[in-house]
Amino acid sequence: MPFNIRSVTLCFAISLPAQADTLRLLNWDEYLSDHTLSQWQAKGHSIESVLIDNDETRDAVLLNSVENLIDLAVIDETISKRFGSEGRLVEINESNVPSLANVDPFWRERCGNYAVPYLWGTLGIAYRSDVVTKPPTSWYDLLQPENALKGHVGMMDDHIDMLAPALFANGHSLNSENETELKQAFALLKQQTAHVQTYEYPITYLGNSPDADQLHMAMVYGGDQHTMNLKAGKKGLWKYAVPQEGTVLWVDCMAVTTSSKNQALALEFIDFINRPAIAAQNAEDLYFATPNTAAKPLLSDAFRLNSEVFPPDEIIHRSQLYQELSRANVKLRLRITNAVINIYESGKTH
Amino acid sequence: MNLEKRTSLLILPVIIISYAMIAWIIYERESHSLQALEKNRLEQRASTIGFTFTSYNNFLDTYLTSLLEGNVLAAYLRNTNNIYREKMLTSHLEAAISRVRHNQQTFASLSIFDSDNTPSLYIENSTDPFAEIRPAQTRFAHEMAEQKMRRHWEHLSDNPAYTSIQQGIAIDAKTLLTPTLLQAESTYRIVVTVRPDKFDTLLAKTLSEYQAKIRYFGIESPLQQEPGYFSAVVKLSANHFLLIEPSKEYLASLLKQLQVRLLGITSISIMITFILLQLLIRRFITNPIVQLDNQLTDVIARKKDNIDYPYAEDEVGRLGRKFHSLYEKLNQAFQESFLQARIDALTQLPNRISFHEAAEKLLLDAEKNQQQFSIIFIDIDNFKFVNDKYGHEMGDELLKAIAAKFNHLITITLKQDNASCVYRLSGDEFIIMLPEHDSESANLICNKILKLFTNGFNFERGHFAVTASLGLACYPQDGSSITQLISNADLAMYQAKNTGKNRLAHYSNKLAKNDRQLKEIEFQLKDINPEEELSLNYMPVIDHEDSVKGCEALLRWNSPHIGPVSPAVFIPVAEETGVFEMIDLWVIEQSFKDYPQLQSILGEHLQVSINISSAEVRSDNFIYKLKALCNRYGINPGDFILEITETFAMEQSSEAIQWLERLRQLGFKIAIDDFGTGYTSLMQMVDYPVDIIKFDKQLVERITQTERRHLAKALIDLCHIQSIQVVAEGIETQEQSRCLWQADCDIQQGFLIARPMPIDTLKSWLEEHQYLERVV
Repeated sequence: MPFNIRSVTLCFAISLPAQADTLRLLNWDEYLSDHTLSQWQAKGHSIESVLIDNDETRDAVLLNSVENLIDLAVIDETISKRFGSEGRLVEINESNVPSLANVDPFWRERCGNYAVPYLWGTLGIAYRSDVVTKPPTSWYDLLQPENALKGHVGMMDDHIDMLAPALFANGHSLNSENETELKQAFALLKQQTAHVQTYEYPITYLGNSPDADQLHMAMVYGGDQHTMNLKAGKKGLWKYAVPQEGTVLWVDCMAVTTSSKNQALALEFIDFINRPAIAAQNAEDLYFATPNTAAKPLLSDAFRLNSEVFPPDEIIHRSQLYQELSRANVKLRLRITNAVINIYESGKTH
Repeated sequence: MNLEKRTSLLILPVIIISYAMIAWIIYERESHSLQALEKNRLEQRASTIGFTFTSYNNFLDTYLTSLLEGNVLAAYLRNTNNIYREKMLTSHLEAAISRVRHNQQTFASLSIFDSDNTPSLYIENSTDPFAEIRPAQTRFAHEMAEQKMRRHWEHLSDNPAYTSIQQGIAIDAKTLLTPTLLQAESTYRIVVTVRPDKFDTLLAKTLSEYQAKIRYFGIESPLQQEPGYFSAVVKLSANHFLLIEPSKEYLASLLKQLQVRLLGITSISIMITFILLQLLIRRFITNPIVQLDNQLTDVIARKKDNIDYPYAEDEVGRLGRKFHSLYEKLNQAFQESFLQARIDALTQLPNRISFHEAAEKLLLDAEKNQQQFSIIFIDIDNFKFVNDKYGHEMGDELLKAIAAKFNHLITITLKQDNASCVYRLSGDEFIIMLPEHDSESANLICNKILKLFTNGFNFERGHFAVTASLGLACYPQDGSSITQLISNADLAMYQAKNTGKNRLAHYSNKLAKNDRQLKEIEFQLKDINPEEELSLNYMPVIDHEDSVKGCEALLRWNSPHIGPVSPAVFIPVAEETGVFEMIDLWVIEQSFKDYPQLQSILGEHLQVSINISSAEVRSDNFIYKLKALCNRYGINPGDFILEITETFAMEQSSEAIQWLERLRQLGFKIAIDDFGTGYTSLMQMVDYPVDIIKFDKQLVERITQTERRHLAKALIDLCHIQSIQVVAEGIETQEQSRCLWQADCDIQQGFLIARPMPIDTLKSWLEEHQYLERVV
């Protein structure tokens, strides 16, 4: 979204110049625990968060990290590998980040050599427990909502994840390179546009839109419901469900940009948040699963055993993983999502 | 055909012709201006089309400029590692389109061809994410490369409903600026295509609206022929034009619409004008005439007295007024003549017609209200005498006076002056109609009428010895119809006349019976066979010496149907019906026949008296026949006395006297019979050429009364002075006989002497008489 790019850029221009002991973190909203932050600040440092709500903005900011003075960024597994190989990210290993040893190797592999796993989770459906009487069990509940929910559905404007419900519902791979499968997915999404209230990231939408309380069901990352409840100011209002067709196991990674003037401090911060106690506290505060094996025992039992946070094995088994897609596929998916948004927009105008 | 239909037939063609001419003129003008207007409209449309097309062209220019001059294209070409770079270009394209087309989904595409002319990018503004580069763009780029063009422009119109504009630009691969040398290996070609959807829509709309044909032309493909008047050329670019040629049917259909509209308006106008004119003409012209006509019809049918007086100042009004006054005069004249026909001009009394009308009305009223009414029939006695004696002028004056008296009397008596009740029927006949009067009350009025004639009738012109005979008939007892009532009143009046005049007679059944008898007598008289039915009786008369001096032949009628009838009854009938002459002649002839036998019985110098009707007076025929009989029977007229009644004297005139003189010259003696019943004075009588005067029974009775005996002597002496013999009739007593003998009466006749008898018994009577004489 060009406007977002511009506004973020503007926001930087005002905040320049950065202080030497301040790290500039490119992050999603509500994605760093205040406890973590205060403990880090207690060490005499500070963190300046630059918030993004979609991948495109994130990429645009990161690709311009020199000008934007980004030191640290929360990124997804595909980007971490691509940007890493392009030399945009600092290589990370146990020598520059000792606490990396605490992290589950499965997740470390997903993030590659240029980033460390931060938090992980599933993709599912958040729903308003006070409105939706029957918890969603299928992606179709989201794609073809029942009449009461028509116009109250939230989707995500993401060239990978927007296609996920349709591909899952059709029983296809999330990473499908098959044009026919993608066309089928597009057809479903095209139909869905009539029932969609917003394609804005639900958390952002709840924070910004005057029609926030009209949103009754949305595609979210597992754990987002916690933040949504915070935004709504009502505990347990939003509930989370993983549809039976399956989901994707995502992991967010944290990386240090090669353009950073504070690489050492940044690496220190990565080491800091991977300390078991910090990682545990951070995960529990943010309501996401932590890839930090050492932190797990430190979690409260209730949190550790919460199936919304740590999905049961059957879900894990049915889950897929992101794969790096060909440039042509990415281009096509971008065009698909663009088309869906255009159809949605034109439907809204007429 | 009435006036209304005729005016319709007259005005309709005029209206139609007028409106048709107007419509034709309007059509001529309108069709010209319509064509001009349409041409104008088409040109406006063409300019809109051109403007629309240009706006797309401008978009292409602007977009390409923004692509090159901003860093958008550069960012794309250089940021090869940003997976979102295409999306950014797409967004840019979308934003550019959106600015121009205001969020309308307009197809636009952008393709970039590498230096080796392979398409490196294709994006389009559509909702089809799977769309691929169009062959037209590839071909377009190839053309550019082959012809080494820096810029290229093309309007693809193979499918007129879906045209597209392509614009291509070549840029240097390194500088991204317009290449100085067009080297294929270092030149990119950027091709932008836009579908001018608005232009297409407008053009399609225009084509269907005008049923038009289009033709694109330019230098490469010029027009074969000059475009017609009704067409428009749109300049799409410097060398690209569009010719729009509407079909001929389009204008024709517009003209047709105009014709239909004009025809409709004209027809409606004609109808409205026609109806309005008709209404106005009806209201102001035909209706007054129709009204006049209707009123005249009513007047003719007598439903109205006259038409309403018209006040309108137009011709119809004047016509109406003229008719009104004409009819007024006519009606007046009619009313006058109507009245004249009902008023007797002489007496000013209503006449017979008027009487019948009034009587019928009265009868109806009486029937309805169960009322009685009476009719008095009046005949003036002896009026003919006045006429004869004093002339008709005096007679008229007398009638007028009588009429006035009647009217006055009735008006006073009935105390009413508006309705006249006295009518003059004819001559001296009057009728008085008395509503609500029964016979008793009518009787009183009759007596008052009779009183008017006591001692004759007096008025300013003198005294006249006329009286009135009145007949009275009352409804309902005396008749149920007017005809019956009149005839019965008439009958009663005759009865009054016959019973002595100057009196009233009520109609009665007895009267009717008498009348019927008279009618019967009249009927039998007509068919009388004198030889069979008539016979003569003879009544001997004696002189002072008691010797038979003669006899009077008296007629007897013994009808086989009605038996013996008295001469007193049938002689007046015979006089009325005209058979009297035949009877008189028969009596005379029979007397002549009998004379020798009578001589043999009663003596040689016997004188036979024969009654002749006074109606014979002035009859030459009678004298001629009498002469013939004298000759035939060879008699001596001096042996015969012709008797005529005193009433004759009333009608005496020089003619009558001459006629009597002629009888005397034949040798007959003339006697006045029944002297004393009439009003003739003896002094008058003695002047007449008569030989004998016969005193009637009443006179004899009167003058033989003791206190009047001197009169007898004087009367008889008077007659003797004039050499007139005196015969006394109706001698019934010795006293009378003796008295008259003493008064020197010449001859006596009466039951004392002899009754009338058949000739056969005369001899025995004579013997008996001579015996008695001898005894006495």
